[in-house]
Amino acid sequence: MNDERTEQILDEEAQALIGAGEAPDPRGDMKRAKAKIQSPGRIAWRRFLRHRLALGGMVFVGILFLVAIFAEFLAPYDPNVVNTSAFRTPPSSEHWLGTDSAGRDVLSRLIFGARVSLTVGVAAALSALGLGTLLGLLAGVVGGWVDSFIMRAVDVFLSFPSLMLILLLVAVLGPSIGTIVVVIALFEWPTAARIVRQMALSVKETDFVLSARAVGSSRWRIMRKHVAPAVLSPLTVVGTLLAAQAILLEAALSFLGLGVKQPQASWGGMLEEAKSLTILEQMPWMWIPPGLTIAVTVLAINFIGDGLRDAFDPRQQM
Amino acid sequence: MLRYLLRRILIAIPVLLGILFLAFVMTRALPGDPLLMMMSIEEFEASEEFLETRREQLGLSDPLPVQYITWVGEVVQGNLGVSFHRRANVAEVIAGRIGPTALLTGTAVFMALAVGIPTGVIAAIRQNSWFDYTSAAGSMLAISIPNFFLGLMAIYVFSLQLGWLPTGGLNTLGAEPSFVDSLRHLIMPAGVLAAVLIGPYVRYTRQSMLDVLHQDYITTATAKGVKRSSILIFHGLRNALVPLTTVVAIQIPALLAGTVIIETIFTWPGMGQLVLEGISRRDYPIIVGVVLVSAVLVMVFNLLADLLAAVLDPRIRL
Repeated sequence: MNDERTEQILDEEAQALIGAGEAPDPRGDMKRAKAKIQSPGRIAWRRFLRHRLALGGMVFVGILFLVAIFAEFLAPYDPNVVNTSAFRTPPSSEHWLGTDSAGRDVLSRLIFGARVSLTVGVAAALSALGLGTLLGLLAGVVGGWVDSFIMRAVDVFLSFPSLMLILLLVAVLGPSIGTIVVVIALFEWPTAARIVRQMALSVKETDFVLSARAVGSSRWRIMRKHVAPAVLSPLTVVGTLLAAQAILLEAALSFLGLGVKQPQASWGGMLEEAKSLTILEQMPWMWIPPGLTIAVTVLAINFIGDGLRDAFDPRQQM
Repeated sequence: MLRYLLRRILIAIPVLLGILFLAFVMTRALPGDPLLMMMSIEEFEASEEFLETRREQLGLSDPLPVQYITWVGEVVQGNLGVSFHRRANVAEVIAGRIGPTALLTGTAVFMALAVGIPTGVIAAIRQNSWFDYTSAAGSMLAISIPNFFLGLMAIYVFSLQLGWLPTGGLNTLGAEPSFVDSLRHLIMPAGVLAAVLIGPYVRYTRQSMLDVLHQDYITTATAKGVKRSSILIFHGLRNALVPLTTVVAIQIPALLAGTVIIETIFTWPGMGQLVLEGISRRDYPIIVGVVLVSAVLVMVFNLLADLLAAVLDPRIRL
């Protein structure tokens, strides 16, 4: 685990995300944009727009957010109301996707489930990024034994089957959205920490930081004006991928019965019923829609991450 | 070489102690009294005094630090304690579960390599062809579909609709154990588990193949008139496989995490199923035992991967 080649491979991944360890250098782009000077942000945005799959993913996730926000108006039924006259009914004009074992409307639960998945995705990704950035900056800026301690912890977290400890922690803290977010942040911070540390180390030595220091910029100003923008773009990519992972993890935990508490609707929890072979075989409307929704959502987010990675890559031509 | 091994083992000790500590603290914080979980109905009516004696016998009334130290001392001697629920030696229970998990994960890695390496090689040779793009999209899809949904789909299609394969278990109950029967039970869970691995295998094989094919010795071999197929296999693939050993090792935690879900869906009697059972029954010794065994397994395989890489690439010195 404490191996140079493992580190090399992980670093290569980090490098791919941060674009060969170089800070986005505006000078290279300026040569190309002779006529009109564009900010690096604009260039990245134009590159992103060209990435069709990423754009598609963006549109899908955007719609999903709208669905989650306006769930009350969109859902035809109350997702938690037990309807004793309609247990496990197949799709019909009344219930477009049928009803589940408690007679609840599957479509309505699917719509409300978007809230859980998106909340967990955004909150877990942000907390993991926050924790990772903090520890990564600490490691990169302070250095010394703090650096080696943090990096050793990164190695442990990356080389351990964390799902088992996550299961344990969820069992200890009791299942809820908050628990899941905390647990994911606790175990998914190392990727972000690695990248931030790497960036902090390489940016520290670049000419523009050296000259900023030479003209007397304060440490805080250098951090804010020079280091932060350089770290921000790779972190956006990592954050997107983390959100996808968090959504998958929440779904898996809920599927195992350790996620969001019933009766709250979550996509993974809806699949829990399919553990019964009768439901699996005869009532596909209860588990195929939530399964497909998770897959498409995660795919869309991964496409966005891919598009962002390409957009921020300074080596790529317009 | 010997010194390298010793150093690696010494580094592993504090890491293991840390993981043990985490697992220990978390299990003790689990809500619910394990004593109540393991009691039969008759015992349930027993007196408070009886409960005290049982706690005393199981060492549950000692202060936590004392419990931890006693327990680490026992673990070092190879004694993992007695399962509360099964009333059997934890080491024996786990030993009975390692076989099926090893079979499942081993087959999954083999299947993933068998698909991933050729796909990666072809994608590298025909860079930017439709095959390259399709395999990239396929890898993306494979990491986006939740593995439990993929598993349920597989059971639905191949077992329930087509009736080709059994829905789960190690072999057919009551039937004569045979190779064909075991294979029929193995292929679906192993295939679903492999799906997560194929993506990274394809990506890294493609990348390292591309790196190798741009080396000077490939040009030299081509200039000498060596057959293209033997250049690709003996000069290209052989060198491209070295980084892949590390990638396989890095994926082991993800693989073990996958077994928790796959073994649950396919009722495969392995360690993943055991740890879930342990969590739902508050069976501390089992949970900690499985966590410990998987941590050791991960470390051993990381070490093996490093040794293997050194054998394949003489430039790597240990």
